Amino acid sequence: MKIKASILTHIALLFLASLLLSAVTVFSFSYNYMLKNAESHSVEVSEAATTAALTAIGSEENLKALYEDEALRERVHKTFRFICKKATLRYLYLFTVDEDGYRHYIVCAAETDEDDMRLQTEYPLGSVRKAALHQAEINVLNRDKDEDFELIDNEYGWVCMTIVPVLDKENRIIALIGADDPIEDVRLIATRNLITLMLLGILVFSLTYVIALLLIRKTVALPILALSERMRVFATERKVSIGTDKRKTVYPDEIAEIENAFEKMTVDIDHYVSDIETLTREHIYTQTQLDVARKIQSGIVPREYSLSEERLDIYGTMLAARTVGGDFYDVFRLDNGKIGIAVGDISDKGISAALFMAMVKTSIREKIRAGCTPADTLNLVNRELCVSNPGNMFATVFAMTIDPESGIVTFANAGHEAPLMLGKEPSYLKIMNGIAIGLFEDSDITDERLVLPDGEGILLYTDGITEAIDTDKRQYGRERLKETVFGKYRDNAERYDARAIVGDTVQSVLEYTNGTDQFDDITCLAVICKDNGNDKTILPPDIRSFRAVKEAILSQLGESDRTKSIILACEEIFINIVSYSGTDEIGFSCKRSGSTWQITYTDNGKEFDPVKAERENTEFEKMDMGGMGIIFARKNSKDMIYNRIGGSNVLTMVFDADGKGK
Amino acid sequence: MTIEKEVNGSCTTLILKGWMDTENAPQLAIEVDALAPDVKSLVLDMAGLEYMSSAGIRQVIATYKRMNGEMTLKNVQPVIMDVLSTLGLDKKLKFEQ
Repeated sequence: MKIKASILTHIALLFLASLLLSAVTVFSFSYNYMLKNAESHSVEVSEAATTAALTAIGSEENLKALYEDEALRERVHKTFRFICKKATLRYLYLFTVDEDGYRHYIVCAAETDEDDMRLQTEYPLGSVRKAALHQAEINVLNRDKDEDFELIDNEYGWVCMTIVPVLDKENRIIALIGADDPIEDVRLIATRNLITLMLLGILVFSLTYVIALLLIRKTVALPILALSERMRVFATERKVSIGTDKRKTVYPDEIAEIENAFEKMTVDIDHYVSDIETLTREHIYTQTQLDVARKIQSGIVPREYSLSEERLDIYGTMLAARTVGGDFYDVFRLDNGKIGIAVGDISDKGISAALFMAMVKTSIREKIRAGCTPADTLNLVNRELCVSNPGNMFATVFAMTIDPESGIVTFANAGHEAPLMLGKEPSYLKIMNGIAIGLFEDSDITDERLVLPDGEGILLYTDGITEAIDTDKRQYGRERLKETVFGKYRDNAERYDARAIVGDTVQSVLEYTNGTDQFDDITCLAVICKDNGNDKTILPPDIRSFRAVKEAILSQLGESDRTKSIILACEEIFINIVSYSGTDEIGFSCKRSGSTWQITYTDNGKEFDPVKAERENTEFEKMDMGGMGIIFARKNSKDMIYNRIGGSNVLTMVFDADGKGK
Repeated sequence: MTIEKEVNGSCTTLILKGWMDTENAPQLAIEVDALAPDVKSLVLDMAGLEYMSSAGIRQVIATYKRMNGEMTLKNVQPVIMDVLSTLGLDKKLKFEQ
């Protein structure tokens, strides 16, 4: 059996210590007690002996006679020896003390013959000893005590010396009787008794200890050993043993409780560890999937893309989140010189979303390149997706084409966020919401158009920007996006730069979300029409202001019937704005764009779309009431594009530079 | 736009020249208001008229109603005719070369 130096060793040491302590205590107490006993016994004996000696001496006269009468002395000596033997005294002696403190011995007797013989030689009558007096002798001589005793260690060993005075009739001390009782034996006996006692104690203690040890081994050490072995097995091999080699106890003790608790704990821990292992496996699987998805995503959608040409400045970026979201953007040239752009967001996350995104992005590009309008493209892609979409995923997409020459944008929206128009003051474009593709077959997405004036642009983005949250779960929001863009525009001397706008917007979002995990992809793309120095003229809303418009058109286009038809269209619209919109001012610009002229009016009056307006009055009887103007505008222009942008009506009329209108 | 008046008995001719736009079209009404009450028929000579907007058409129609139809447009240039025919007026009004 291997018991580690722990519990049992400690218990053993404790036993030994307690044994030692009790032995010392018992010894010192009993020794003192026995010594006291021996002392009082010896004093009693000595007192009896000295009293007997006093009686033997008899009277004062007898004492004096002792010096003279040898026979008397011999008789007293015999009596003394008799007393010695009876009382087991070593010595009994009669002596006087002179003024100098010297002892003068008269009669000395010893218990044994040998000692007595020696005494008769060394201490004959009248022999003097100059050794200092003992305290007991002094006490008696000074009459401090009637009699006294003292333990003395002399050349004959330990003795208890008792001193008794011999008094005359006047009660004066005339001699002293000393009795030396040997006490070596008493000590030996005490020690022997104690040793016996101690040996017995040690035996009893040891027996108890061994029994206790065996008991502890059985009830504590062995169960703990078994438990620790089970713990070791559990810790190293995570093997759970339940109910095996269970200990039998009469009453459940603390160890049993520990065993039960351990058993429960191991089962619990085993479950937890299994759970954690399962979770970790799932986590690793998910991570791997996300890595693959991210690779697919970054392979299909570059982190940044820049396109800058004579009239357009485009910059796009996509920052993939840790969890792949499936954002995408795409910029590509078309055969007719236009540029196709798409920004989208797949509903789901993970590898399936990345694959879905790849399919959507590729299909959109393919169809726009084949000549489909953005709306046709989205409707077609939607139909394709609806045929087979097991994951029920969907995508919000904003797709557009832009003609770099004219700045005319044709766009369609499939449930995506409204773009931010980068004008003198940024504002969100009012667009049709459309419906996300992949959901319903009849998406019915329609094309819309707008004209990007020189120096202005359009910002496309995904909800990774507007719905980015800070540490307090507040969204970044559309207003903040607008303010960020506006701030950058003013910082940059009121000029838009695609890379700067996109870079600063993304930076602003990242700073806003600092301290949180980027949850969604962040996609941002800006399209800016370069400023070619075509100024916009601002006119007061007055009929007479049209003169300036007329002069401007005439000076640029030259006078001709064609020019007159253009001026007619422009006048009708201008008068309409002056008469009905309630605007503060009218912005006017005229620019040549390839084979067309583009004339744009901007007013901040009430919303009015002359392109969609109800057909006007063509009844002859009411023609003097007016209301025929827009007919001319529509007839004479090749195209009219209206947008409501940030509280302003923006209308662009397009005219063929040579030849008639529609 | 300039307007000259030629009176020939009960028939008066107004000779319109230049550009007739929103700003100056009301001049026609002023001239028509100024006609003598015995004027039975009116001729608008547009040989020199180069441009007419819808405001001009309003005035022409108003004049036509005022003359109870006794109004003839004369020497209408193609560019003006184009504007009028857009509203189908080429069939409603009387023209002469």
